Amino acid sequence: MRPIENFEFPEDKQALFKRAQRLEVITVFYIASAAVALYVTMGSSQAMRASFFEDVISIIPAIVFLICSRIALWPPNRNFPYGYHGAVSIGYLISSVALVAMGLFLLIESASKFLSGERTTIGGMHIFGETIWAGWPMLAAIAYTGIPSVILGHMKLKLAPKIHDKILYADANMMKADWMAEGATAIGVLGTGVGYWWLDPLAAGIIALDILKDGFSNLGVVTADLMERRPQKTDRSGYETLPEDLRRRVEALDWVKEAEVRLRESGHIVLGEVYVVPSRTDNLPERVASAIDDAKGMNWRLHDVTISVVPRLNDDASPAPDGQS
Amino acid sequence: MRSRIAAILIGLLAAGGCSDFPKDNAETLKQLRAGREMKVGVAHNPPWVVVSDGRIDGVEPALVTQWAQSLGTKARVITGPADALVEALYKRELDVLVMGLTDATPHSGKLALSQPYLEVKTHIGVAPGQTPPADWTGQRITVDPERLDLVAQVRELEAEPVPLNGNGTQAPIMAGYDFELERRGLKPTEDELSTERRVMAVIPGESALLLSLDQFLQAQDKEGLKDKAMEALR
Repeated sequence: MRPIENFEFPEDKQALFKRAQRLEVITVFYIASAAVALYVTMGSSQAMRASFFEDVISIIPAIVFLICSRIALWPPNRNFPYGYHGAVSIGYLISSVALVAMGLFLLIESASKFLSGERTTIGGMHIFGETIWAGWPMLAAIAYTGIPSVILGHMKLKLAPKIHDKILYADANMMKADWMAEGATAIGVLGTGVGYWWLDPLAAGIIALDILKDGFSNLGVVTADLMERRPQKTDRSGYETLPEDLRRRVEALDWVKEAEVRLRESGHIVLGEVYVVPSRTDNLPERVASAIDDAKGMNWRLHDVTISVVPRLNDDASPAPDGQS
Repeated sequence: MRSRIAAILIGLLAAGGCSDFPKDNAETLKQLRAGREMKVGVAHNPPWVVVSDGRIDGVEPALVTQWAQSLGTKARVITGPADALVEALYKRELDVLVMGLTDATPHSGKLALSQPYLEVKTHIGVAPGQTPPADWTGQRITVDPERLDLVAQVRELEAEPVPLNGNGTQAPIMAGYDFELERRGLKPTEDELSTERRVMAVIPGESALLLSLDQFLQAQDKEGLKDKAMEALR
Protein backbone atom coordinates (compact mmCIF):
# COMPACT_ATOMS: atom_id res chain seq x y z
CA MET A 1 0.00 0.00 0.00
CA ARG A 2 1.20 3.45 -0.78
CA PRO A 3 0.84 5.72 2.25
CA ILE A 4 -0.09 9.40 1.94
CA GLU A 5 2.59 11.96 2.67
CA ASN A 6 3.49 12.79 6.23
CA PHE A 7 1.45 15.70 7.57
CA GLU A 8 2.82 18.62 9.51
CA PHE A 9 1.01 21.79 10.48
CA PRO A 10 2.24 24.86 8.57
CA GLU A 11 4.53 27.04 10.65
CA ASP A 12 1.93 29.56 11.82
CA LYS A 13 -0.51 26.76 12.73
CA GLN A 14 2.21 24.85 14.51
CA ALA A 15 2.53 27.68 17.02
CA LEU A 16 -1.24 27.60 17.56
CA PHE A 17 -1.21 23.83 17.97
CA LYS A 18 1.54 24.11 20.61
CA ARG A 19 -0.57 26.75 22.33
CA ALA A 20 -3.57 24.42 22.34
CA GLN A 21 -1.44 21.66 23.84
CA ARG A 22 -0.21 24.04 26.55
CA LEU A 23 -3.79 25.09 27.33
CA GLU A 24 -4.84 21.46 27.64
CA VAL A 25 -1.93 20.58 29.92
CA ILE A 26 -2.91 23.52 32.13
CA THR A 27 -6.52 22.29 32.05
CA VAL A 28 -5.56 18.76 33.09
CA PHE A 29 -3.49 20.01 36.01
CA TYR A 30 -6.08 22.54 37.06
CA ILE A 31 -9.00 20.09 37.02
CA ALA A 32 -6.92 17.32 38.59
CA SER A 33 -5.89 19.60 41.46
CA ALA A 34 -9.51 20.60 42.03
CA ALA A 35 -10.59 16.95 41.92
CA VAL A 36 -7.93 15.89 44.41
CA ALA A 37 -8.93 18.71 46.74
CA LEU A 38 -12.57 17.67 46.50
CA TYR A 39 -11.75 14.00 47.01
CA VAL A 40 -9.76 14.76 50.13
CA THR A 41 -12.45 17.00 51.63
CA MET A 42 -15.63 15.35 50.38
CA GLY A 43 -16.32 13.14 53.38
CA SER A 44 -19.94 12.04 53.26
CA SER A 45 -21.28 15.12 51.50
CA GLN A 46 -23.36 14.18 48.46
CA ALA A 47 -22.92 17.58 46.85
CA MET A 48 -19.14 17.35 47.11
CA ARG A 49 -19.20 13.81 45.72
CA ALA A 50 -21.23 15.07 42.75
CA SER A 51 -18.69 17.85 42.15
CA PHE A 52 -15.92 15.28 42.21
CA PHE A 53 -17.57 13.10 39.56
CA GLU A 54 -18.25 16.22 37.54
CA ASP A 55 -14.54 17.02 37.60
CA VAL A 56 -13.61 13.48 36.60
CA ILE A 57 -15.92 13.71 33.57
CA SER A 58 -14.81 17.20 32.59
CA ILE A 59 -11.13 16.25 32.48
CA ILE A 60 -11.82 13.66 29.73
CA PRO A 61 -11.79 15.94 26.64
CA ALA A 62 -8.52 17.57 27.70
CA ILE A 63 -6.79 14.21 28.16
CA VAL A 64 -8.30 12.88 24.94
CA PHE A 65 -7.03 15.95 23.06
CA LEU A 66 -3.49 15.49 24.34
CA ILE A 67 -3.46 11.82 23.34
CA CYS A 68 -5.39 11.86 20.06
CA SER A 69 -3.92 15.03 18.58
CA ARG A 70 -0.49 13.52 19.08
CA ILE A 71 -1.45 10.18 17.55
CA ALA A 72 -2.96 12.03 14.58
CA LEU A 73 0.50 13.32 13.67
CA TRP A 74 2.13 9.89 13.57
CA PRO A 75 3.51 9.33 10.07
CA PRO A 76 1.43 7.17 7.73
CA ASN A 77 2.79 3.71 7.01
CA ARG A 78 1.97 0.59 5.02
CA ASN A 79 -0.59 -0.58 7.55
CA PHE A 80 -2.15 2.85 8.02
CA PRO A 81 -1.79 4.31 4.51
CA TYR A 82 -4.12 7.24 5.33
CA GLY A 83 -2.19 8.02 8.48
CA TYR A 84 -3.70 8.33 11.95
CA HIS A 85 -5.86 11.40 11.39
CA GLY A 86 -9.01 9.47 12.25
CA ALA A 87 -7.81 9.54 15.87
CA VAL A 88 -9.15 13.09 16.04
CA SER A 89 -12.67 11.92 15.19
CA ILE A 90 -12.43 9.11 17.72
CA GLY A 91 -11.30 11.59 20.36
CA TYR A 92 -14.12 13.90 19.38
CA LEU A 93 -16.57 11.02 19.81
CA ILE A 94 -15.23 10.26 23.30
CA SER A 95 -15.40 13.94 24.27
CA SER A 96 -18.96 14.29 22.99
CA VAL A 97 -20.05 11.24 24.94
CA ALA A 98 -18.38 12.73 28.03
CA LEU A 99 -20.35 15.93 27.51
CA VAL A 100 -23.62 14.00 27.22
CA ALA A 101 -22.69 12.01 30.34
CA MET A 102 -22.03 15.25 32.23
CA GLY A 103 -25.42 16.65 31.24
CA LEU A 104 -27.25 13.45 32.15
CA PHE A 105 -25.42 13.20 35.44
CA LEU A 106 -26.32 16.76 36.45
CA LEU A 107 -29.90 16.36 35.28
CA ILE A 108 -30.47 13.15 37.25
CA GLU A 109 -28.78 14.72 40.27
CA SER A 110 -30.94 17.81 40.30
CA ALA A 111 -34.14 15.92 39.47
CA SER A 112 -33.64 13.43 42.29
CA LYS A 113 -32.80 16.26 44.65
CA PHE A 114 -35.93 18.11 43.63
CA LEU A 115 -38.15 15.03 43.90
CA SER A 116 -36.75 13.86 47.22
CA GLY A 117 -37.63 17.26 48.67
CA GLU A 118 -34.19 17.62 50.19
CA ARG A 119 -34.10 21.25 51.28
CA THR A 120 -30.67 22.82 51.08
CA THR A 121 -29.70 24.62 54.26
CA ILE A 122 -26.48 26.56 54.70
CA GLY A 123 -25.52 27.44 58.24
CA GLY A 124 -22.30 28.56 59.83
CA MET A 125 -18.68 27.69 59.26
CA HIS A 126 -15.91 28.09 61.79
CA ILE A 127 -12.92 30.01 60.45
CA PHE A 128 -10.20 31.46 62.67
CA GLY A 129 -12.40 31.29 65.74
CA GLU A 130 -15.28 33.11 64.05
CA THR A 131 -18.51 31.61 62.80
CA ILE A 132 -19.50 33.10 59.47
CA TRP A 133 -22.21 32.13 57.01
CA ALA A 134 -20.82 29.09 55.14
CA GLY A 135 -22.25 30.42 51.88
CA TRP A 136 -19.47 33.03 51.59
CA PRO A 137 -16.54 30.59 51.56
CA MET A 138 -18.60 28.36 49.23
CA LEU A 139 -19.02 31.23 46.79
CA ALA A 140 -15.30 31.97 47.02
CA ALA A 141 -14.52 28.33 46.22
CA ILE A 142 -16.97 28.40 43.30
CA ALA A 143 -15.36 31.54 41.93
CA TYR A 144 -11.92 29.99 42.34
CA THR A 145 -12.86 26.85 40.43
CA GLY A 146 -15.22 28.48 37.94
CA ILE A 147 -13.28 31.51 36.69
CA PRO A 148 -10.35 29.55 35.16
CA SER A 149 -12.94 27.51 33.21
CA VAL A 150 -14.37 30.70 31.73
CA ILE A 151 -10.93 31.91 30.63
CA LEU A 152 -9.67 28.54 29.36
CA GLY A 153 -12.96 27.84 27.60
CA HIS A 154 -12.85 31.17 25.81
CA MET A 155 -9.27 30.68 24.64
CA LYS A 156 -10.03 27.18 23.36
CA LEU A 157 -13.18 28.30 21.57
CA LYS A 158 -11.15 30.87 19.61
CA LEU A 159 -8.28 28.48 18.93
CA ALA A 160 -10.25 25.42 17.81
CA PRO A 161 -11.45 26.70 14.38
CA LYS A 162 -7.97 27.99 13.55
CA ILE A 163 -6.36 24.56 13.74
CA HIS A 164 -9.57 22.73 12.80
CA ASP A 165 -9.49 20.63 15.91
CA LYS A 166 -12.90 19.40 16.96
CA ILE A 167 -11.75 17.77 20.20
CA LEU A 168 -10.58 21.20 21.27
CA TYR A 169 -13.98 22.56 20.28
CA ALA A 170 -15.79 19.90 22.33
CA ASP A 171 -13.47 20.68 25.22
CA ALA A 172 -14.34 24.37 24.97
CA ASN A 173 -17.98 23.27 25.30
CA MET A 174 -17.01 21.20 28.33
CA MET A 175 -15.34 24.22 29.93
CA LYS A 176 -18.51 26.17 29.31
CA ALA A 177 -20.51 23.32 30.88
CA ASP A 178 -18.13 23.49 33.81
CA TRP A 179 -18.49 27.15 34.58
CA MET A 180 -22.22 27.09 33.95
CA ALA A 181 -22.58 24.26 36.45
CA GLU A 182 -20.53 26.34 38.89
CA GLY A 183 -22.82 29.26 38.16
CA ALA A 184 -25.82 27.08 38.96
CA THR A 185 -24.22 26.15 42.27
CA ALA A 186 -23.62 29.82 43.02
CA ILE A 187 -27.27 30.63 42.26
CA GLY A 188 -28.22 27.72 44.50
CA VAL A 189 -26.06 29.00 47.36
CA LEU A 190 -27.38 32.55 47.09
CA GLY A 191 -30.93 31.25 46.66
CA THR A 192 -30.57 29.25 49.85
CA GLY A 193 -29.26 32.41 51.49
CA VAL A 194 -32.45 34.31 50.68
CA GLY A 195 -34.59 31.38 51.80
CA TYR A 196 -35.42 29.88 48.40
CA TRP A 197 -33.93 26.43 48.84
CA TRP A 198 -35.59 25.18 45.62
CA LEU A 199 -33.47 27.51 43.48
CA ASP A 200 -30.54 25.12 43.96
CA PRO A 201 -31.96 22.08 42.10
CA LEU A 202 -33.87 24.29 39.67
CA ALA A 203 -30.79 26.21 38.49
CA ALA A 204 -28.82 22.97 38.25
CA GLY A 205 -31.61 21.33 36.23
CA ILE A 206 -31.86 24.14 33.68
CA ILE A 207 -28.11 24.20 33.18
CA ALA A 208 -28.00 20.40 32.90
CA LEU A 209 -30.44 20.65 29.99
CA ASP A 210 -28.22 23.22 28.28
CA ILE A 211 -25.16 20.99 28.69
CA LEU A 212 -27.12 18.01 27.41
CA LYS A 213 -28.11 20.01 24.32
CA ASP A 214 -24.44 20.85 23.66
CA GLY A 215 -23.50 17.22 24.17
CA PHE A 216 -26.07 15.87 21.74
CA SER A 217 -25.25 18.44 19.05
CA ASN A 218 -21.55 17.50 19.30
CA LEU A 219 -22.50 13.83 19.19
CA GLY A 220 -24.52 14.50 16.02
CA VAL A 221 -21.59 16.27 14.36
CA VAL A 222 -19.09 13.56 15.23
CA THR A 223 -21.42 10.83 13.99
CA ALA A 224 -21.75 12.67 10.68
CA ASP A 225 -17.97 13.17 10.59
CA LEU A 226 -17.37 9.47 11.04
CA MET A 227 -19.77 8.84 8.17
CA GLU A 228 -17.64 11.23 6.08
CA ARG A 229 -20.14 13.97 5.54
CA ARG A 230 -18.79 16.89 3.46
CA PRO A 231 -16.32 19.03 5.43
CA GLN A 232 -17.98 21.37 7.90
CA LYS A 233 -16.48 24.36 9.67
CA THR A 234 -15.17 23.54 13.14
CA ASP A 235 -17.29 26.23 14.80
CA ARG A 236 -20.34 24.90 12.86
CA SER A 237 -20.96 28.19 11.12
CA GLY A 238 -21.55 26.28 7.87
CA TYR A 239 -19.89 24.04 5.32
CA GLU A 240 -16.30 24.53 4.28
CA THR A 241 -15.95 26.38 0.99
CA LEU A 242 -12.83 24.37 0.19
CA PRO A 243 -14.51 21.86 -2.21
CA GLU A 244 -15.99 24.64 -4.31
CA ASP A 245 -12.70 26.62 -4.23
CA LEU A 246 -10.85 23.53 -5.41
CA ARG A 247 -13.30 22.88 -8.23
CA ARG A 248 -12.99 26.46 -9.49
CA ARG A 249 -9.22 26.33 -9.25
CA VAL A 250 -9.01 23.15 -11.27
CA GLU A 251 -11.53 24.39 -13.84
CA ALA A 252 -9.43 27.51 -14.29
CA LEU A 253 -6.56 25.41 -15.67
CA ASP A 254 -6.22 25.86 -19.43
CA TRP A 255 -6.42 22.14 -20.22
CA VAL A 256 -9.53 21.48 -18.13
CA LYS A 257 -12.99 21.69 -19.59
CA GLU A 258 -15.00 20.73 -16.49
CA ALA A 259 -14.24 19.37 -13.05
CA GLU A 260 -15.97 17.94 -10.04
CA VAL A 261 -14.62 17.15 -6.57
CA ARG A 262 -15.35 14.77 -3.73
CA LEU A 263 -13.65 15.62 -0.45
CA ARG A 264 -13.74 14.19 3.03
CA GLU A 265 -12.34 15.33 6.33
CA SER A 266 -10.01 13.19 8.36
CA GLY A 267 -9.17 14.95 11.57
CA HIS A 268 -7.21 18.10 10.77
CA ILE A 269 -6.74 17.28 7.09
CA VAL A 270 -8.91 16.91 3.98
CA LEU A 271 -8.52 14.16 1.39
CA GLY A 272 -10.37 13.44 -1.83
CA GLU A 273 -10.74 13.12 -5.54
CA VAL A 274 -11.07 15.49 -8.47
CA TYR A 275 -12.79 14.35 -11.67
CA VAL A 276 -11.56 16.23 -14.69
CA VAL A 277 -12.83 16.36 -18.28
CA PRO A 278 -9.78 17.54 -20.26
CA SER A 279 -10.02 19.86 -23.22
CA ARG A 280 -6.48 18.90 -24.31
CA THR A 281 -4.72 15.62 -23.74
CA ASP A 282 -1.13 16.40 -24.76
CA ASN A 283 1.38 15.97 -21.89
CA LEU A 284 -1.50 14.71 -19.77
CA PRO A 285 0.53 12.92 -17.03
CA GLU A 286 2.65 16.03 -16.43
CA ARG A 287 -0.40 18.29 -16.44
CA VAL A 288 -2.18 16.08 -13.87
CA ALA A 289 0.87 15.93 -11.63
CA SER A 290 1.29 19.71 -11.64
CA ALA A 291 -2.45 20.17 -11.01
CA ILE A 292 -2.17 17.94 -7.92
CA ASP A 293 0.76 19.98 -6.61
CA ASP A 294 -1.14 23.18 -7.29
CA ALA A 295 -4.22 21.88 -5.45
CA LYS A 296 -2.21 20.82 -2.40
CA GLY A 297 -0.61 24.24 -2.27
CA MET A 298 -3.90 26.12 -2.14
CA ASN A 299 -4.84 25.14 1.45
CA TRP A 300 -2.78 23.53 4.17
CA ARG A 301 -5.62 21.19 5.07
CA LEU A 302 -5.89 19.76 1.56
CA HIS A 303 -3.29 17.10 2.13
CA ASP A 304 -3.89 14.59 -0.61
CA VAL A 305 -5.94 14.65 -3.81
CA THR A 306 -6.27 12.23 -6.65
CA ILE A 307 -7.16 13.44 -10.12
CA SER A 308 -9.16 11.14 -12.33
CA VAL A 309 -9.34 12.05 -15.98
CA VAL A 310 -12.77 11.13 -17.35
CA PRO A 311 -14.46 11.59 -20.75
CA ARG A 312 -17.54 13.33 -19.24
CA LEU A 313 -18.98 14.15 -15.83
CA ASN A 314 -21.64 11.82 -14.61
CA ASP A 315 -24.50 14.22 -13.91
CA ASP A 316 -26.91 11.58 -12.62
CA ALA A 317 -24.71 10.52 -9.75
CA SER A 318 -23.81 13.97 -8.52
CA PRO A 319 -26.03 15.90 -6.15
CA ALA A 320 -26.85 19.58 -6.49
CA PRO A 321 -23.73 21.80 -6.80
CA ASP A 322 -23.74 22.83 -3.14
CA GLY A 323 -24.78 19.40 -1.95
CA GLN A 324 -27.61 20.68 0.19
CA SER A 325 -30.23 18.36 -1.28
CA MET B 1 -25.97 33.31 29.19
CA ARG B 2 -23.31 34.82 31.42
CA SER B 3 -24.97 38.18 31.64
CA ARG B 4 -28.21 36.40 32.50
CA ILE B 5 -26.53 34.55 35.35
CA ALA B 6 -25.00 37.79 36.59
CA ALA B 7 -28.41 39.44 36.46
CA ILE B 8 -29.96 36.61 38.48
CA LEU B 9 -27.18 36.79 41.07
CA ILE B 10 -27.51 40.54 41.45
CA GLY B 11 -31.29 40.20 41.64
CA LEU B 12 -31.03 37.59 44.35
CA LEU B 13 -28.64 39.70 46.39
CA ALA B 14 -30.89 42.71 46.04
CA ALA B 15 -33.93 40.64 47.00
CA GLY B 16 -32.05 39.25 49.97
CA GLY B 17 -31.04 42.62 51.29
CA CYS B 18 -27.47 42.21 52.48
CA SER B 19 -28.18 43.32 56.05
CA ASP B 20 -30.55 40.42 56.65
CA PHE B 21 -28.52 37.57 55.20
CA PRO B 22 -28.93 34.62 55.21
CA LYS B 23 -32.70 34.32 55.51
CA ASP B 24 -34.93 31.44 56.54
CA ASN B 25 -37.32 29.80 54.14
CA ALA B 26 -40.16 30.19 56.65
CA GLU B 27 -38.79 32.92 58.97
CA THR B 28 -38.43 30.58 61.95
CA LEU B 29 -35.62 32.58 63.57
CA LYS B 30 -37.62 35.79 63.28
CA GLN B 31 -40.62 34.14 65.00
CA LEU B 32 -38.45 32.75 67.81
CA ARG B 33 -36.84 36.13 68.35
CA ALA B 34 -40.34 37.58 68.57
CA GLY B 35 -41.00 35.24 71.49
CA ARG B 36 -42.60 32.15 69.95
CA GLU B 37 -41.88 29.05 72.00
CA MET B 38 -39.08 26.87 70.59
CA LYS B 39 -40.31 23.33 70.02
CA VAL B 40 -37.46 20.95 70.72
CA GLY B 41 -37.68 17.25 69.88
CA VAL B 42 -35.58 15.04 72.15
CA ALA B 43 -34.80 11.33 72.13
CA HIS B 44 -32.83 9.39 74.72
CA ASN B 45 -29.16 8.96 73.80
CA PRO B 46 -26.93 9.18 76.86
CA PRO B 47 -24.96 11.17 77.79
CA TRP B 48 -26.01 13.70 75.13
CA VAL B 49 -29.71 13.39 75.84
CA VAL B 50 -31.01 11.58 78.90
CA VAL B 51 -34.74 10.96 79.25
CA SER B 52 -35.64 9.10 82.41
CA ASP B 53 -38.86 9.11 84.46
CA GLY B 54 -40.12 12.17 82.62
CA ARG B 55 -36.96 14.10 83.52
CA ILE B 56 -34.85 15.42 80.72
CA ASP B 57 -31.15 15.90 81.20
CA GLY B 58 -27.90 15.72 79.30
CA VAL B 59 -25.61 17.97 77.32
CA GLU B 60 -27.84 18.86 74.39
CA PRO B 61 -31.12 19.76 76.14
CA ALA B 62 -29.10 22.08 78.39
CA LEU B 63 -27.48 23.72 75.38
CA VAL B 64 -30.76 24.20 73.55
CA THR B 65 -32.44 25.71 76.62
CA GLN B 66 -29.60 28.22 76.84
CA TRP B 67 -29.79 28.99 73.13
CA ALA B 68 -33.55 29.60 73.36
CA GLN B 69 -32.92 31.99 76.26
CA SER B 70 -30.29 33.84 74.25
CA LEU B 71 -32.91 34.36 71.50
CA GLY B 72 -35.38 35.65 74.08
CA THR B 73 -37.74 32.70 74.12
CA LYS B 74 -38.30 29.43 75.97
CA ALA B 75 -37.72 25.85 74.87
CA ARG B 76 -40.55 23.35 75.10
CA VAL B 77 -39.36 19.76 75.00
CA ILE B 78 -41.22 17.04 73.13
CA THR B 79 -40.07 13.43 73.45
CA GLY B 80 -40.76 10.65 71.02
CA PRO B 81 -39.23 7.90 68.92
CA ALA B 82 -36.34 9.11 66.75
CA ASP B 83 -37.99 8.41 63.38
CA ALA B 84 -41.17 10.26 64.32
CA LEU B 85 -39.11 13.24 65.52
CA VAL B 86 -37.12 13.41 62.27
CA GLU B 87 -40.35 13.37 60.27
CA ALA B 88 -41.93 16.00 62.54
CA LEU B 89 -38.90 18.30 62.14
CA TYR B 90 -39.02 17.92 58.36
CA LYS B 91 -42.70 18.88 58.43
CA ARG B 92 -41.92 21.93 60.61
CA GLU B 93 -43.79 20.57 63.63
CA LEU B 94 -40.53 21.00 65.56
CA ASP B 95 -37.88 23.72 65.39
CA VAL B 96 -34.88 21.84 66.71
CA LEU B 97 -34.01 18.20 67.16
CA VAL B 98 -31.51 16.87 69.69
CA MET B 99 -30.96 13.15 70.02
CA GLY B 100 -27.22 12.72 70.19
CA LEU B 101 -26.83 13.01 66.43
CA THR B 102 -23.43 12.76 64.77
CA ASP B 103 -22.50 14.20 61.38
CA ALA B 104 -22.68 10.62 60.01
CA THR B 105 -26.41 10.34 60.70
CA PRO B 106 -28.38 8.46 58.04
CA HIS B 107 -31.15 11.07 58.39
CA SER B 108 -28.99 13.87 56.95
CA GLY B 109 -31.24 14.26 53.89
CA LYS B 110 -34.18 15.29 56.07
CA LEU B 111 -32.32 17.40 58.61
CA ALA B 112 -30.35 20.61 58.53
CA LEU B 113 -27.31 19.64 60.59
CA SER B 114 -25.28 22.09 62.64
CA GLN B 115 -21.51 22.22 62.55
CA PRO B 116 -20.03 19.68 64.97
CA TYR B 117 -20.04 21.34 68.40
CA LEU B 118 -17.81 18.70 69.95
CA GLU B 119 -15.54 15.98 68.61
CA VAL B 120 -15.14 12.97 70.85
CA LYS B 121 -13.21 9.77 70.41
CA THR B 122 -13.94 6.42 72.00
CA HIS B 123 -11.07 4.30 73.24
CA ILE B 124 -10.43 1.39 75.51
CA GLY B 125 -8.94 2.51 78.80
CA VAL B 126 -6.78 0.57 81.21
CA ALA B 127 -5.58 1.36 84.72
CA PRO B 128 -2.50 3.63 84.71
CA GLY B 129 0.71 1.63 84.74
CA GLN B 130 -0.98 -1.42 83.30
CA THR B 131 0.29 -2.55 79.88
CA PRO B 132 -2.60 -3.07 77.48
CA PRO B 133 -2.71 -6.57 75.94
CA ALA B 134 -1.50 -6.91 72.34
CA ASP B 135 -4.80 -8.43 71.30
CA TRP B 136 -8.26 -7.73 72.74
CA THR B 137 -9.69 -11.13 71.72
CA GLY B 138 -11.48 -12.72 74.65
CA GLN B 139 -10.70 -9.82 77.01
CA ARG B 140 -13.46 -8.72 79.38
CA ILE B 141 -14.14 -5.05 78.68
CA THR B 142 -16.57 -3.05 80.77
CA VAL B 143 -19.17 -1.11 78.76
CA ASP B 144 -22.24 0.88 79.65
CA PRO B 145 -24.94 -1.53 78.35
CA GLU B 146 -27.17 1.38 77.31
CA ARG B 147 -24.62 2.56 74.75
CA LEU B 148 -25.29 0.05 72.03
CA ASP B 149 -22.82 1.40 69.47
CA LEU B 150 -20.04 1.06 72.01
CA VAL B 151 -21.08 -2.50 72.88
CA ALA B 152 -20.99 -3.34 69.16
CA GLN B 153 -17.51 -1.82 68.78
CA VAL B 154 -16.24 -3.95 71.66
CA ARG B 155 -17.74 -7.06 70.08
CA GLU B 156 -16.02 -6.20 66.80
CA LEU B 157 -12.70 -6.55 68.63
CA GLU B 158 -13.88 -10.07 69.58
CA ALA B 159 -13.71 -9.00 73.21
CA GLU B 160 -16.38 -9.76 75.75
CA PRO B 161 -18.49 -6.78 76.83
CA VAL B 162 -19.22 -6.73 80.57
CA PRO B 163 -22.06 -4.49 81.74
CA LEU B 164 -20.96 -1.57 83.89
CA ASN B 165 -22.40 -1.90 87.36
CA GLY B 166 -23.64 1.11 89.20
CA ASN B 167 -21.90 0.43 92.51
CA GLY B 168 -18.87 2.53 91.62
CA THR B 169 -16.27 -0.23 91.68
CA GLN B 170 -13.38 0.50 89.37
CA ALA B 171 -13.34 -1.59 86.18
CA PRO B 172 -9.83 -2.66 85.11
CA ILE B 173 -10.54 -2.38 81.37
CA MET B 174 -13.29 -0.19 80.06
CA ALA B 175 -14.50 1.23 76.76
CA GLY B 176 -15.74 4.78 76.60
CA TYR B 177 -15.08 8.37 75.58
CA ASP B 178 -11.58 9.72 76.13
CA PHE B 179 -12.75 12.32 78.61
CA GLU B 180 -14.85 9.71 80.38
CA LEU B 181 -11.93 7.29 80.81
CA GLU B 182 -9.66 10.08 82.04
CA ARG B 183 -12.22 11.29 84.52
CA ARG B 184 -12.65 7.73 85.77
CA GLY B 185 -8.92 7.47 86.36
CA LEU B 186 -8.14 5.20 83.42
CA LYS B 187 -5.58 5.69 80.69
CA PRO B 188 -6.90 5.52 77.09
CA THR B 189 -4.91 3.04 74.99
CA GLU B 190 -3.81 3.75 71.46
CA ASP B 191 -6.56 1.73 69.77
CA GLU B 192 -9.22 4.18 68.69
CA LEU B 193 -12.70 2.71 68.43
CA SER B 194 -14.42 5.66 66.79
CA THR B 195 -14.50 9.42 66.31
CA GLU B 196 -17.84 11.12 66.72
CA ARG B 197 -18.62 14.66 65.69
CA ARG B 198 -21.67 15.65 67.68
CA VAL B 199 -24.29 17.76 65.93
CA MET B 200 -27.84 19.04 66.40
CA ALA B 201 -30.49 19.59 63.76
CA VAL B 202 -32.93 22.33 62.77
CA ILE B 203 -35.70 22.51 60.15
CA PRO B 204 -34.16 22.07 56.70
CA GLY B 205 -34.31 25.24 54.61
CA GLU B 206 -33.85 27.53 57.63
CA SER B 207 -30.37 28.89 57.03
CA ALA B 208 -30.61 31.83 59.43
CA LEU B 209 -31.77 29.57 62.24
CA LEU B 210 -28.92 27.17 61.54
CA LEU B 211 -26.34 29.95 61.45
CA SER B 212 -27.64 31.28 64.77
CA LEU B 213 -27.31 27.80 66.32
CA ASP B 214 -23.82 27.38 64.88
CA GLN B 215 -22.73 30.71 66.31
CA PHE B 216 -24.15 29.82 69.71
CA LEU B 217 -22.52 26.37 69.75
CA GLN B 218 -19.15 27.68 68.62
CA ALA B 219 -19.02 29.97 71.67
CA GLN B 220 -19.40 27.07 74.12
CA ASP B 221 -16.55 25.86 76.31
CA LYS B 222 -15.70 22.33 75.11
CA GLU B 223 -14.31 21.15 78.45
CA GLY B 224 -17.46 22.37 80.15
CA LEU B 225 -19.50 20.26 77.76
CA LYS B 226 -17.38 17.21 78.57
CA ASP B 227 -17.91 17.82 82.30
CA LYS B 228 -21.62 18.06 81.67
CA ALA B 229 -21.53 14.78 79.69
CA MET B 230 -19.65 13.15 82.55
CA GLU B 231 -22.35 14.23 84.98
CA ALA B 232 -24.98 12.64 82.78
CA LEU B 233 -22.97 9.42 82.64
CA ARG B 234 -22.92 9.02 86.43
